[in-house]
Amino acid sequence: MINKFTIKPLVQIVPILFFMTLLFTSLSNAQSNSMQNEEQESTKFDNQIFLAISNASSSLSELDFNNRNGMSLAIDYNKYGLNNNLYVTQSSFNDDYVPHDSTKHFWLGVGEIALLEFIPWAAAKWVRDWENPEDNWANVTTDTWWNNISKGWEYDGDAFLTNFFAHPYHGSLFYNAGRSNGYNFWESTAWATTGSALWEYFGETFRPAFNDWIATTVNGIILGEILHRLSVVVTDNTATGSRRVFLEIGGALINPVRGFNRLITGETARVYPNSEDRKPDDFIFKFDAGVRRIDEKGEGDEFATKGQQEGLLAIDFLYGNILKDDPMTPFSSFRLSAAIGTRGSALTRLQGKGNIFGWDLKNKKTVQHRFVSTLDYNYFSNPGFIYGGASSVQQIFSRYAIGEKTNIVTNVGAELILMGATPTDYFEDVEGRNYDFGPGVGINIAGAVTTGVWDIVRLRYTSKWIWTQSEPADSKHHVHALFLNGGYPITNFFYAGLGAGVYWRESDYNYPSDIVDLIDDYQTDIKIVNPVVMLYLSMAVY
Amino acid sequence: MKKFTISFLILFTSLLSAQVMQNDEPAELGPNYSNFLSDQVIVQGIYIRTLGNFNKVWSSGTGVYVNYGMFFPDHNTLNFQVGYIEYNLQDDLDPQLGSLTIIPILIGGKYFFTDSRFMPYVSFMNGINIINQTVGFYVEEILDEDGHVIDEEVHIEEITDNSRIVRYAFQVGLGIMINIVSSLNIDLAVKYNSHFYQTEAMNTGFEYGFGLVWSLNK
Repeated sequence: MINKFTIKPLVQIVPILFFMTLLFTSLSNAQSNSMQNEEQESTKFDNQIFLAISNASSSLSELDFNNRNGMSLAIDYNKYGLNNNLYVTQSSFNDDYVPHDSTKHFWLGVGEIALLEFIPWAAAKWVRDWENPEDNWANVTTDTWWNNISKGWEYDGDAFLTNFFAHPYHGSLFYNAGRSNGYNFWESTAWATTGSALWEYFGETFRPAFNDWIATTVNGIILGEILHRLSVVVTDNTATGSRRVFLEIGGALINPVRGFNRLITGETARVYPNSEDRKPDDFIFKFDAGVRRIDEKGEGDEFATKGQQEGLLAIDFLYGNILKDDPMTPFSSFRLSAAIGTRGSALTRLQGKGNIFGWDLKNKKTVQHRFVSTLDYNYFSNPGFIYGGASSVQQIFSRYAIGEKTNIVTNVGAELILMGATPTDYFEDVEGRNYDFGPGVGINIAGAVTTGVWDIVRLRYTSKWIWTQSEPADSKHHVHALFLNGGYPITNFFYAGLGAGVYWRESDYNYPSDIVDLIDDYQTDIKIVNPVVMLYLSMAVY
Repeated sequence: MKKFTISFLILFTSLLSAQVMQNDEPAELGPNYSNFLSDQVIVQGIYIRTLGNFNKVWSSGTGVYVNYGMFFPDHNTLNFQVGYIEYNLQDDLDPQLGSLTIIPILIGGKYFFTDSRFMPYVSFMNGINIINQTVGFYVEEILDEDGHVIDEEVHIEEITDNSRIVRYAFQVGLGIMINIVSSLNIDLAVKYNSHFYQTEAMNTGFEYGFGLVWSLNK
């Protein structure tokens, strides 16, 4: 009874009130800052002045510069109707503000990790209605903790979306508890690793799941750094008024932990210079809409008559340029792709890929070769193909200039799959898992003719070998994907594309006799083939 | 008793760490300067108390590690570790039944809380264990009418194949390095091991280590 009438409403209401108060206060501040700025004259030049230029042709283009004495200027050509006149924001040069993420805040990070552990745990324990209360995995005690410590790792039975989307997202929050509290990329990986391990050992009654730990940590790091950088791009410390409000909300939606830190430190409302590396030189946002036809039965030969159609919406963020930016700065260039489909799992694709280290092999105007090691996060779930993975890929990117804006680009890579998942033909866990887990290796080969930001034609092939470690473990899988895409750039910003490809999987089962006896129509070798065609329109913003 | 031991060790290390942190630290001497931390070579003897179903057959282990640590300012080392560990059968089992030895090859890191004579740290290592075994076992789950596990029984079995297997290894721990004189330090550590072995019998345990550390470039 206490749980129902006391704790549950508190758990729901108190955090909401807290956040609403913070949000309201900060956003009010942001609004009032803009009004104050308009009223105040610029008089003090002893600290910092800030420069921001926006013009009519783009919603925001900024130029930040600071001299050695910390002096900078602020210009807004349009907002105040002062075409080409200098405008100096008062609050920007009136303090010696040290941004929150420029110094380390260990205990705040620890508090946020605790909060990130507590919220999903409390939601499961007190908010979620369990048909059978014994199934409530949040009923942890010191006995369950000791049981987990004593028994160690296992592979869990969660559904694909949980293991390859929910866990990585949770990991990205752990990562950002470090990243948005002043820790760099490498230091923040420890926050993701620790947050994930604490959850696995102490947040659930189940034994710690090794697959969760890898997916939460590695994919969480990838997603976390990408969301951190995107959130930095979106928020603008020099903005004021309603524009600032919308940018802060957008930044907080992309990276809630950073948004939370900005709220509690007052940075949501404060006007101060942006960091020098806020925006990369190259940034492309693409939006695709189209249809896909795929053979979900995996027989291949009935694709024309029994294939399934679905609508597709996809977005791509290309941050930086993997052939231009410093490869030794982690995620100085990355790609985030996501797609939703109208059949099966709504989230049909989510991929993140960012550089960890690398070096130039050849760097001429017409020919470039660069070795880059990347971290890759892959989530594919469509009616004909399921694959999830966290991997480290060693690859060589090449570019051959064949025209002023036309290039041939290639990419050849070897992949070390730390944790991969692909469907099994015989196993289905009571909790929904119908796929096998295991480490593996892979190869990736791609080549394209590009003009501007568009591919005229692109061919890519990937092949992955997964050795099953989850029970029943006696199997191995070989998955392939081969795709040919081509299209026509209607303008610099619009593109019509067509793609065709095939996914196929070869599985080899070597189950012991006691398992084989439980299976009807057991076959040791199974091959599944899923052809697919796509038609789409793309729009690019860059 | 085990919980008490763990709690005591955590408390002891925390208090020691707090004491050490109160000591007067030398003045800042530049971003890459370190007082006591540097590249290091560690030779460590270990004793392992096993847990869980693994403990029902193999009660403890003893071994040695050789560890090389690369120093990264201000308080971190990247560590490479190899070793040799021999496990001991439970007292009620015939000692002639067989043997289990492990060669761990691990990579990881340590974060030192201070750079002073007393250097408490947390560590994380992972990698592979090359396991050689001449006897194996499997765990039989005893279920109730509803299918819930009510007990687990361990059965010894002869190894006919796979006498050598390779499994993932993971350990986290707390420790303290104490500078004795010049480049010589001693190292005391307690680590939690969660190594893969079998699904129902992972090789878990607490590892207690004593080592000598030779600081390079000092």
